[in-house]
Amino acid sequence: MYKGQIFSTDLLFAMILMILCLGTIISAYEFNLYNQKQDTLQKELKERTETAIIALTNSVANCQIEDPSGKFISLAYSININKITTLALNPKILKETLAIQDTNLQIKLSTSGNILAEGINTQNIVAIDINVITCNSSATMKDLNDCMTSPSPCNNPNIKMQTLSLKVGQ
Amino acid sequence: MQKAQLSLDLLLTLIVAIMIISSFGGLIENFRIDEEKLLVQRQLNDITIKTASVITSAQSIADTDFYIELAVNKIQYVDEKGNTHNIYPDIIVIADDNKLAASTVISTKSGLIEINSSAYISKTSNTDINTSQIKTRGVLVVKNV
Repeated sequence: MYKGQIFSTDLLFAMILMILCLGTIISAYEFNLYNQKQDTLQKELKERTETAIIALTNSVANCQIEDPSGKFISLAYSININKITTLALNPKILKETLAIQDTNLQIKLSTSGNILAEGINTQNIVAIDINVITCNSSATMKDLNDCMTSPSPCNNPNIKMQTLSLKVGQ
Repeated sequence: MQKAQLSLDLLLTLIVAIMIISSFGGLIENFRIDEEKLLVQRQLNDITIKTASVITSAQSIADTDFYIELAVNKIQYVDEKGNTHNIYPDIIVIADDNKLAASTVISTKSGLIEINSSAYISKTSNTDINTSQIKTRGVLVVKNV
C-alpha cells in the first residue's frame, strides 16, 4: 500500500464478490417469485377449465331426452353431438357461455373427432379428458334404456360412450 | 499516521458499509411489501375464481329452484406495524362484461395499496347474485328468481 492509496486489490476483489453474491440472491428471489406467479396462473386455469367442462356437459350442450310422459330429462355429463357442433360454429359465444372467453379452446370427442380446433400457441395450457355419454338429437328414452341394460360398450346408433377432451390455452 | 487518527480507509469503509446497510433495509422492505401484495393477490384470486366457478356451474341446476349461500373467506395480511388484519373483500358483479370483480385495500409502509382481481362468469338470465351480505354475514347468495 502506498500513502494516500484508496483502493487495494483485496478491497476490489471483496467488492466484486459481494456484488456477485448480491446479484445471485436477488435473481434467485425473482425466479422464485416468477415461479409462484406461474403456478398461480396454472392453478387458476385448471379450475376454470374444470368449471367449463361441468357447464358444457351438464347444461350448455348436454343431452335432453324425452321420457314417455313428454317431460325432458337432462342427462348429467353428456354431450349432444348436434348441439355442440352447432355451438362450435360460433366459438366466441360458446366460450362466453363457458366463461373462458380470454382463452383458446379445443374440443375433441374420441370417436366423433374434432369439434373445435382453435390454435393454441401459449405456455399456459390445461387439458382434461373425461368419459361422457354422447347422443344425437333423435335419441329417445328407449335408446337410453337399451344402452343402460346392454353389455358395455353400447352399440346403439343414437347413444355412445366417448372420451371428451377439452384443451384450454391462455 | 498520528495517535488516535482515523485512517481514510476506515472512513471510506464505514461510509460504504452504512450505504450498503441502508440500501439493504430499503430492498428488504420492498421485498416484504411485494410478498405481502402477492399473498393478498393470491387470496383474492382464489376467492374470485372459486366464486365465479360456483356461479358458472350453477347453470347446470338453473332449471331448479336453487338457493346457494357461498361462504366468502376473509383476506388475511400483516400491516407495516406487524398487526394481523382479517377483512372481507368487496365483491361486485359487472353484468356488461360478464365479470366478477373483487378488491381490497391493504396498509403498507408505502401507504394504502388497492389490490384487485376479476374472473369471468356465465349465468342464465334468471340467476341472481347478491353480494350485499358479504360484509355482514360473510356469504354471497346465488339463487334462481
